[in-house]
Amino acid sequence: MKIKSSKGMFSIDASLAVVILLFMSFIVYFLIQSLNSSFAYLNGRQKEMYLLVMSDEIVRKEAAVKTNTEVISNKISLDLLESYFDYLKSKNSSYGFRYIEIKLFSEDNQMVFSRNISYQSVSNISNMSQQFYCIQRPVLYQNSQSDYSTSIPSVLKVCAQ
Amino acid sequence: MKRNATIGKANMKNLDQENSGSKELGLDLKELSSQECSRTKKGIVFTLEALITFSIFIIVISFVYILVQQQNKSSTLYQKVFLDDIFQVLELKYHDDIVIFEKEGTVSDSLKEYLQFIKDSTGESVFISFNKRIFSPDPLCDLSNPQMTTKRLVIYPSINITENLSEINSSTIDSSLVKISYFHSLILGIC
Repeated sequence: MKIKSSKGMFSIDASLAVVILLFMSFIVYFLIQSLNSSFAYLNGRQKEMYLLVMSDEIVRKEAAVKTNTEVISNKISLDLLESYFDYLKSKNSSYGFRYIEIKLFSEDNQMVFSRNISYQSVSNISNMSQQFYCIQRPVLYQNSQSDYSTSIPSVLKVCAQ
Repeated sequence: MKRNATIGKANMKNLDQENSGSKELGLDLKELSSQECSRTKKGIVFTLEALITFSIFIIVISFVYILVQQQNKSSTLYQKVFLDDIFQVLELKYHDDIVIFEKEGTVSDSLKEYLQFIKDSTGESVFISFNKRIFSPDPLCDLSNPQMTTKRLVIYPSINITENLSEINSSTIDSSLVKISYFHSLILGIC
């Protein structure tokens, strides 16, 4: 007994195979796309954390005050900002950022401090398609480190790329 | 002798019949075993297919989950840090103003100015709240549905009477009923 089989150009089996193949290729494309976006997202999160740590370096300091170790938080001085900026300049890069901008706005929205540093040429920075990351830290600032009497409310804005 | 010969022939016949029967049985067993083999093979293939389909299904779901997770706002940590920074500044410079707000409900001009400055320079409307007292410099601030809140402790001494005062004559207040509480929670939020 011979079993009759439906063989032809448009057989059901072949059509199903094509559909499954297309489905599988879509899944593979989907997986690759998801992996790619996941890595980009993780990279972005890492940059955000780096920026937070970098702004913490400016905002929080551990210091020995009258023999006790004390964390001085949200109290900065222009002298310290300048010295931190010099420290950044002495490095080749900071937390993988190629461009860093630090601005300090006082109570009447007056810019008290503004510096930027680029670890590459300016032309490259303008062409960069990388995302800018910014963080705002409300702080109190003093004109100099020795001037403890006056502290002015201000907002420190740190941006990096 | 003849009798013996006939008995021997009959025995031989019986043996032949037995041999032929066992041959047929052997063939049947072979067929049965091959059928069982193909069945088990089919079963294994089916199980493998099911496992592969299930694993693909799980992978697709996990990647969809990752994609959905990505849409969550990543700025929540920055907002939390922002609120903690504001509380730190309030503690350093506006501690007395916060105490007056918590005790009396009045907001000093300097505190108002500071919260207004925060709104102008950062674009975030911040509110402070203690018990039922709430203050925000932004009149459009929706306090019922804040973006984020954080609770921090403000330390100052305040007298707290543990029992209902109306039932006790003020002259007879026992000192044990009066307690000094130092920790008062202040709620800071972005609306």
